[in-house]
Amino acid sequence: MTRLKRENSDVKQEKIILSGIIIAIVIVSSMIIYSFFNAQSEHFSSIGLLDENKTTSNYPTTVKNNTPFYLWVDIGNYEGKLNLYLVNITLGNENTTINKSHPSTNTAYFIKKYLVIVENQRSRMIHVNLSINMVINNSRLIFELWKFNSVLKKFQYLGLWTQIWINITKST
Amino acid sequence: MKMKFKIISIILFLCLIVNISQIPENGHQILNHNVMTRTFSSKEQAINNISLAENAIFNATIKLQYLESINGIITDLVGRLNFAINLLNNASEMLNMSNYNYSVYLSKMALGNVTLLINDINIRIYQTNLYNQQSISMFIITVVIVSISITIAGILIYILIKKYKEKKFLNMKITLPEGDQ
Repeated sequence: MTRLKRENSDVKQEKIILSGIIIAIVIVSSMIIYSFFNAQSEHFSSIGLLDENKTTSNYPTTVKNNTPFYLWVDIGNYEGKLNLYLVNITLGNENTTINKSHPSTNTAYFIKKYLVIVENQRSRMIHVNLSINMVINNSRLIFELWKFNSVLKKFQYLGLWTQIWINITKST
Repeated sequence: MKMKFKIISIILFLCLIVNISQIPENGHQILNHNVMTRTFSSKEQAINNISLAENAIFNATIKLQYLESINGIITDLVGRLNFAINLLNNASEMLNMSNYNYSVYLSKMALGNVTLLINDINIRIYQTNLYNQQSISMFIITVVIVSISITIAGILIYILIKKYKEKKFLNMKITLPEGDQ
């Protein structure tokens, strides 16, 4: 009789353990499935400036006016889809206003623009050929990144920019 | 006299009709000797062509984004769009350098390339949609076939087990307790 009771209690314990395991499996698997479907990777674009030799150590500090000099601009697209970018190059000074929400358009001279198409999870380098026809000290050569908005059908400033300080002297 | 008057009135009427026919819908009369034949300068042509090429590139981008969203293959098309964009960048540069004729040439090349590219993107979108529809159909057919197969297999296994149990039951030896013998 006591043996029968013990067997019954063992069976009950086994049932409790089994139901616990099943509940745990259901909870863990549902959490995994939820995180899998709701996984949102961070979407972002990037802009980087490199010197003529594709390094970050030898940026020009002084150039002569009306004389070409070269830089490389690297644009990265991690927005989750193909994107068309506009690199707007302007020349400003210490009074030029540029920040995350306002481009330098109103307070700097427009120099040049480049359109660049970049696939998702890729980056593309463009060779920028610049020649500035003015003499100015302590100027800022600004590179702004704009993205084409396919709904509004126009470019929107991404709040991303980079710059180098440069002196432009008169060519002899 | 009457005849002359009739002829004159007919001529006047015909002149009026001819004159009216030269008035376009917006009511402005076109006078041939006043028509200004305006030829676009190279600079204007370059600006116009660059603008047209830019708009074409925007359209191509929108179409490529759509193609990408329906899991179409875009790598080769992006390469071609990049080529057209480089042409357009060079055309803009030539415009800034006042090399207008070369700018017109490059912008026209860019426009031509993008126009062809847009046609190819449209074809690719059609092909991808067709492939996706076929894939969905194949998936549904596969699911139905697999479900039916599993159901049939389950029924067969059930029948086999049942038969096996019946056979086992029939082959069982009945042993009675000692007191009942």
